[in-house]
This record gives sequence, C-alpha cells and structure tokens, in this order.
Amino acid sequence: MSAFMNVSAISDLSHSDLPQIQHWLDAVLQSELSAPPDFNWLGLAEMFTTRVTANPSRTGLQWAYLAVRVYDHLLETTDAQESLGNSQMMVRAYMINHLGSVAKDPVLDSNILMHWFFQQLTISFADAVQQLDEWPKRRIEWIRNLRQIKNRLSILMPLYQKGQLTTTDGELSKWFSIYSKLP
Amino acid sequence: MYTNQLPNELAQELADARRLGVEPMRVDNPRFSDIANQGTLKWAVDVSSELWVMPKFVDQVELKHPVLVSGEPVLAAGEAEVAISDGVIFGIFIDNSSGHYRPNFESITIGRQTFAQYGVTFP
Repeated sequence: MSAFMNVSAISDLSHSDLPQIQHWLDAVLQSELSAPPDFNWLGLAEMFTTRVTANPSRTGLQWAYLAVRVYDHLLETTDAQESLGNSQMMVRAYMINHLGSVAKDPVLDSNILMHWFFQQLTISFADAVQQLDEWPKRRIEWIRNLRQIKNRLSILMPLYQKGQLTTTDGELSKWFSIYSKLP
Repeated sequence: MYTNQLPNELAQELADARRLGVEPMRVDNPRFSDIANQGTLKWAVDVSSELWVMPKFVDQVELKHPVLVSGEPVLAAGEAEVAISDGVIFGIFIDNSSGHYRPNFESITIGRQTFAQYGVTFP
C-alpha cells in the first residue's frame, strides 16, 4: 500500500478498513503526513474502542493497538489525562481479559496496568484509609482523589478477580480491600 | 448545537448498549445514585434541554455519548463524577469530553446549570 487516503475529517476514516486506517495513522504519527487541521483525535480513539469491543478477538486486538497509540498521542497533547488514561487502560484490560496477558505486548502486558495504577497514586494507603473515615466531611480534592483511585481499581477489578494481577507484597490487595468504601 | 461526528458507528454503539442492558437515565431516576457511585458518568443535554446520563464503562465496554440521545444532536455533553452518601450529593468533577460531539467549553456551563436543576452542583 503506497498512496495515502485523502482524509479531511474523521468521517473519511470511519468508512475505511483497518489496513487503510493503520497505513494513514502510521504516516501521521511518524510525521510523514499531516493530519487535517483540528483533527478529531478523541473521536478516532472512541471509534477504535467500539471496534475493539465489537470483536473481542485477534481482529479486536488490531483495533486495540491503534486505539492505544491514539490515546498515547492524546495523552501527550491534551489536558484530560484522567479520562483519557482510564479509557486507554480499559482497552488494555478488556483485551487481556479476553486473550490473556502477554509480556512486552503494548496492549496485552498486564504489567502496564499495574505500573499505571501505582504510578498514578498521589496519596499513600494510610492517608487514603484515614480520609475514608467520614469522607463526606473531607475537602473536595480528597474526595476527588479517592474517586480516581476507585475508578482505576474498577478497571483492574475483572483481572484482579481472575488472579491475573498480583503483587508479591500484597500491595494491590490492600487497595482492593477498601474498594467498597471509596466514594 | 452539536451533531454526532461518527454516525456510521451508531448502530454498533446502540447494539453494545442494548447487549449490556444500558438505558439512558434522568438524574431524578431512583437508580441514579447506584450508577453515580459506581464511577464516571457520561452525560448529554438534548435539544429539549433534558439531561441524560449513563455509566462511562459497563462490563469493560466504554459506552459512547450518542447512546444517550439515539444519535441525535445535543446542546452539551461530557463526563462527570458524582458521589452520593446518605442522600447527600457530591458533584466532584464535570468536563466536556466527548469525541463524538466535540462540544466547546460552554458545554460545561450548560452541564453545570442542568445538573444543578437536580441538586447536583460541582466545585
């Protein structure tokens, strides 16, 4: 495949098949081609996630690779880190749940999820437990912190319950032990 | 007013929602506290100024904003975090994140005002 699709808006991509889109995306992300001005990257990521979950198989995995790359691009260029990060990690968790974990794979490596969860923590477990006590009386920043932790644990939950996520020190289990109390 | 930029995807998005048993909900629905306490919400204000919400994720599937309004245009859309304890509502966060509708920042103002009609206020 040599010639690139003529893409002026995201709707042009929604009519295209996976190899065509992959060809175009490779070229844009490698700066061989320019995306249209004000291109709807979030819309593209959302389109890919729909195709992932419509095909929880090897085909879905190919769409998941594209989705993760677009979310990486968005995470480098926009502010909505929490929402984007959660969407990206849910794509990974979904595919791992269906196909299993594969070390070093950009989508299927469950270590990426583990690293992400602990890297995102901004409060210690002890502080979280302390703040959980009567959380409605806490400052909104604390409540937001606790909710973010809950959302991230929700993404990990199906894999954790299947024993696909573990830490030798039991650190992750500690966080899951307070899940039901988080706002 | 914002239109769905990915109409070709709508059939699959609606099928996903049906398969997962998801139906758009008003904030005064008695089950609102259940979905609010589960995690992130997606919200949209339709052209009649009605506010609709649903969970962002169900069974690891991310639902898409057009599901809230059957693919019709919206006045505003985004995501929100709301926690409810003993009947007291805490609006934690609201934004205008939607790749399907790409609403501008005014969307957040419309969202705040519409949620407030149901007693949900955000900092």
